[in-house]
Amino acid sequence: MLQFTVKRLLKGLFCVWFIWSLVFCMVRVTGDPTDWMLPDGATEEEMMTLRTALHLDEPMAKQYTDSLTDLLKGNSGESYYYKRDVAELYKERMGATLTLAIPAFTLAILIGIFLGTVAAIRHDSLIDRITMSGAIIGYTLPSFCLGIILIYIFCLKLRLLPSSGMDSLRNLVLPMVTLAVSPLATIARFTRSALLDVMNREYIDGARMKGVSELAVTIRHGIRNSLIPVVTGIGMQLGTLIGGAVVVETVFSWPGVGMLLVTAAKERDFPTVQYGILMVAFSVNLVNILIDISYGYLDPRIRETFK
Amino acid sequence: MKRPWGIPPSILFLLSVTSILVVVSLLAPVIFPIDLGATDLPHRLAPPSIFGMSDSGYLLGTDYLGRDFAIRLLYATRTSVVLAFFGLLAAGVLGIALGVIAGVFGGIWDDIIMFLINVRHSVPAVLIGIIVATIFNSSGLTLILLTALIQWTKFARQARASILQIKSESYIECSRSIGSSTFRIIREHVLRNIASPLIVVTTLTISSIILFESTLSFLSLGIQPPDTSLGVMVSAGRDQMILQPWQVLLPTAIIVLIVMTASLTGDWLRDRLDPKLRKR
Repeated sequence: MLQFTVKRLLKGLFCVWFIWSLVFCMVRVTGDPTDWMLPDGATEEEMMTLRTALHLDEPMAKQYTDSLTDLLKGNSGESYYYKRDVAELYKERMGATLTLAIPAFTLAILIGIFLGTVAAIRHDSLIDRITMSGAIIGYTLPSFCLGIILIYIFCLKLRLLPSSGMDSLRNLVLPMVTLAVSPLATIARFTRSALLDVMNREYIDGARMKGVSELAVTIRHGIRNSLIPVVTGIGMQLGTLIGGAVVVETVFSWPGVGMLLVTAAKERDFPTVQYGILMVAFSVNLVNILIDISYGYLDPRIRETFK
Repeated sequence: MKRPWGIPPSILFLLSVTSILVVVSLLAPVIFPIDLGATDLPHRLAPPSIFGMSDSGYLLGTDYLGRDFAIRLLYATRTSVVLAFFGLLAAGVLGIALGVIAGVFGGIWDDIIMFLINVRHSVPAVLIGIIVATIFNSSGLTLILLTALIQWTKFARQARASILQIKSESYIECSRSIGSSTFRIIREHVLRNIASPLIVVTTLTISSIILFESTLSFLSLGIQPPDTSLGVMVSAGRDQMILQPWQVLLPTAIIVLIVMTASLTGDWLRDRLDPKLRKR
């Protein structure tokens, strides 16, 4: 188990390093940000001064090794645009994104698993059909369309909720719902099919024959055994959630890290883009590793193979 | 009427509606030749004439620059469908080639390709799209290349998994023992036997591509005005939401229709082609 974990961690770190290097080269290959940063009609001299200040006049290899050593020392660099430490910048905006993402993801997991379970227990019933039709619409409707439609209904027509800003809890409702719908629908579908698959197994019939009540069969034998595909499914939703947060923040003018990253890309703010992608790649890899390790705890059969 | 291959009526219905829409939109430049850039400001935001709502002469009214909304909607659908087609083609060719290499040759090739798949999945598709489209200029070609770059992993994974399954089958060994070259085995046996799961992946990937393209175009990082796509239509319709909500709702409905058709057809095909799930 320990050997597996270490190997998996090293692989993840290598992957994060590779992505960081890729982004590093890509942003530099495609152009010089000093054209964007200075006003029109800036002299060649001014441009050179700025380039020197940003270390862009040095050879690529030196820029690369310098940035990498800085990063390993915990120094994330300074944003070209905000003239501030990039890590600080992300830390400031992280709060806004997490206020949005944590309730949205919790909502998606709880309601998704609940609806999926209900649909599986009562499968082929009216409730199953309604839930699954809702789920299909939930993951086919793009989040930006959903956001705009929600703004139209609740802000413009009913005048119940604000469409932007973030000063009260009421501001949170629409962006949170918009962000939650797609992962919720996917988790509900995943749970339903995983549970249906398990409930057809022989050990479920065995438990029923022992006289265990249907509720206990579903919870103790059904749900517990369907957890592995459900947890994998939830883990895969993290990427969707990060991508979704970027779009939702744009639609609702929510000042989180997604907005920061999009503006940084547009401004060619190299250090901010690099650090943002680094953080995303790091968290996605970390969650995937945690999921792989959690298999061992969820399923004793898998734990055996680690020994 | 006997339904071919036992296709459920709901999917048959969705498939027919989507096919008609796609064919009409592909023919749009022939049926309604217009200049996408031309504006007609005196007629801006004209009401629709459908269902006798007005006598403006525009079936679905006009947009904020006085352009016929119905015709633009067809052009938008056409752009999205054409981009999805070429993106799918590029992603399929790239992904199947890498998947076959990983599955057939194994060893270090397999490690490298699996690593690249992991790299791709470490960053969400929308983020890759935003970064690449802002750094390079955004155009139809960029979108197609981006689609290939993002979606190839699904094909590669499926091709690899299917090959690992059939690798030890006796017909492969027989073919090798009578002296077939690796290339011949790949062409004659491997590709033919992994075709059906790949058809399923293709169908399911269409939905991701349509969603991806419309999201990027909505963020004004995809197709640029005066050209239009479904995402551009939603983005432009947003400002007319109070007076003419259909300018957002109709392009949204077309996105949902295409995505839903593709994903339900894909699900159905998967159940249909997987003998383990076939109940009869």
